[in-house]
Amino acid sequence: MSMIEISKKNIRVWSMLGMRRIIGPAVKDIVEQINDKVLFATADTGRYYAYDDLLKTHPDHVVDVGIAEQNLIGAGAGLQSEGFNVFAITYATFLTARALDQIRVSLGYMGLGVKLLGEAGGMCDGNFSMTHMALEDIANTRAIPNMTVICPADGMELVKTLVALSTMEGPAYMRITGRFPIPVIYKEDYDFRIGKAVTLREGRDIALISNGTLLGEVLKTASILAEQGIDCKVINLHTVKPLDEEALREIAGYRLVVTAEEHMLYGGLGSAVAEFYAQEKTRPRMLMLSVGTQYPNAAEYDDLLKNCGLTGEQMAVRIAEKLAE
Amino acid sequence: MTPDGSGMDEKKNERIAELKEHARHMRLTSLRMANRCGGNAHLGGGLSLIEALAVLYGAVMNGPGLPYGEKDKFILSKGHGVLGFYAALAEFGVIEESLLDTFLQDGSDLIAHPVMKPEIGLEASSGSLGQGISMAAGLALAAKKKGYTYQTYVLCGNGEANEGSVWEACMSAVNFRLDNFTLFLDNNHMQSDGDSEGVMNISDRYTGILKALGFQVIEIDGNDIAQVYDAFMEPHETGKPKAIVGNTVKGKGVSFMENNNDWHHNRLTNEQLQAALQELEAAE
Repeated sequence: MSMIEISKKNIRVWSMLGMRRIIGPAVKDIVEQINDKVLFATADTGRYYAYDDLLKTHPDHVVDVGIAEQNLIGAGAGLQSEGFNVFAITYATFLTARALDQIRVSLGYMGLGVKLLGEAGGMCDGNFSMTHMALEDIANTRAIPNMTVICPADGMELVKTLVALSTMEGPAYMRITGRFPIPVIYKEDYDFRIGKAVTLREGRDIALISNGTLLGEVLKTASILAEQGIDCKVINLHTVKPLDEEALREIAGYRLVVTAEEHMLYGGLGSAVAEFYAQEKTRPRMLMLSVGTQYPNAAEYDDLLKNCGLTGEQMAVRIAEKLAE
Repeated sequence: MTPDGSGMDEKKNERIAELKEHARHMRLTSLRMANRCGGNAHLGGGLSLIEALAVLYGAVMNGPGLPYGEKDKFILSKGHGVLGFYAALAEFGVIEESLLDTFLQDGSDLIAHPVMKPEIGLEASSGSLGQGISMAAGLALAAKKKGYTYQTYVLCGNGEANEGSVWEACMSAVNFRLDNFTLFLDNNHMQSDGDSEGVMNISDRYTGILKALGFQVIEIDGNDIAQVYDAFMEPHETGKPKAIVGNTVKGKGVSFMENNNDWHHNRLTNEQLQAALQELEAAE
């Protein structure tokens, strides 16, 4: 069975596995079917990604530097400059906060196309506390020149992103979110292109923009608001950088544009959208739903979504309140 | 060669004498660059590494024109050591000497810290300390994976070795059995705030630390050409990365700069340049 094949069966399998356990087997398939220059480089987190089969069958394609994220990026940059395509894989916050200077110098400055795959983007490992939540990762990586930033919505989009990254030249950061089972956003194949937003639901009153597994909640929000007579468009802005400006221009005349993200208020998806509209002639009113400006206390993921007001029901209430202002 | 092998010694002595002359000339070049740029330059740390780079470029690293997978690589991890580095590139024909005239000028390829441009011998960008060793480990690991025969050399400063990332990289060089990797530690016992003994007192322990990690270690006087030569020529032990702990003098070769941190980053006036040149020319 190929982990990167688009099939009805895999849609179920991906959802049950959760994002991270798709990655090890998917990299094995990519090495065998698409690009044998891809390396799985990790800082002692290979097992989380179910890399066992890859390690057994392709030990030369695994580089484990131990718990040393700075060296993961630096040594990864050396390997990348010699023609490998390095997938540097560990916790998102240890990659994008702890090793940010290495990312600046090796990826941003030297332009080496290491692909950063960051697990626990947002709050999904929230019972480990904020130390394991990546809540500034989009802000940090988006500011780096030439960096592509992607946050896939579900298993299928994750696989499509991995396949796209496997032959891409420049540097990129992929944010991995959610727990398993992951909500299935895509029940059938679709056209995925880096930098091209996907409309998940058509609507004319307000637009909801999000990415990652939080889209499962956002789609609930849209259904709830529809029952109240508010017609919502839902956009999967899987690529935060480069931004799909055309998709944003199309909704500039909407009554309200809502962004929803598992990230600090500052610097994330909402900021990226707001920065774009700030310089446009026509700009919509915005509501930016996020984790806020303080670190959340440790809790289970479902509770954290509630504590931050990011469940489908809570977001519907917050949006209705905003519209009533 | 005579039966007792003294002919070989003679040949080596000649080589050492040539490299000494190259080192002396590189110092003159470095000082002229520092003066010509009209602003501050990292003189102290640029002069302490001259012998290491004279030997590396003059005798150790293989020449240009080789296939990619055979051509040795050097990374200056202590990016502020550019005065000696750019002088070495010109001394041994990697770049045109005229390029040195552009040092620190707007738009130049030769700025205060190296900017990656492999076609002129700049294998990596550096400046943020503690990163070049990781990159070098990655290059050496890539060579192992691809069957390339090139050697990777990296030069790190002793102040730089305060950075934790240096030790992450060293750990991995041991773990990946990189016997195609050589670290030269330019241990000039000073850093920006003063004597390393007073800032972060481990400068006399590098040999022990690196040996404990699993390196093959050779500790030498890093400003003694013959010792530097022998250290680089010492073959790698199988499966081990090699480290040369070179005890050096910051500002080496110019008496008013030696061990004087005023010359960590400073402007060299015309009068000071003349005094320094006279001293170096007298040392011929």
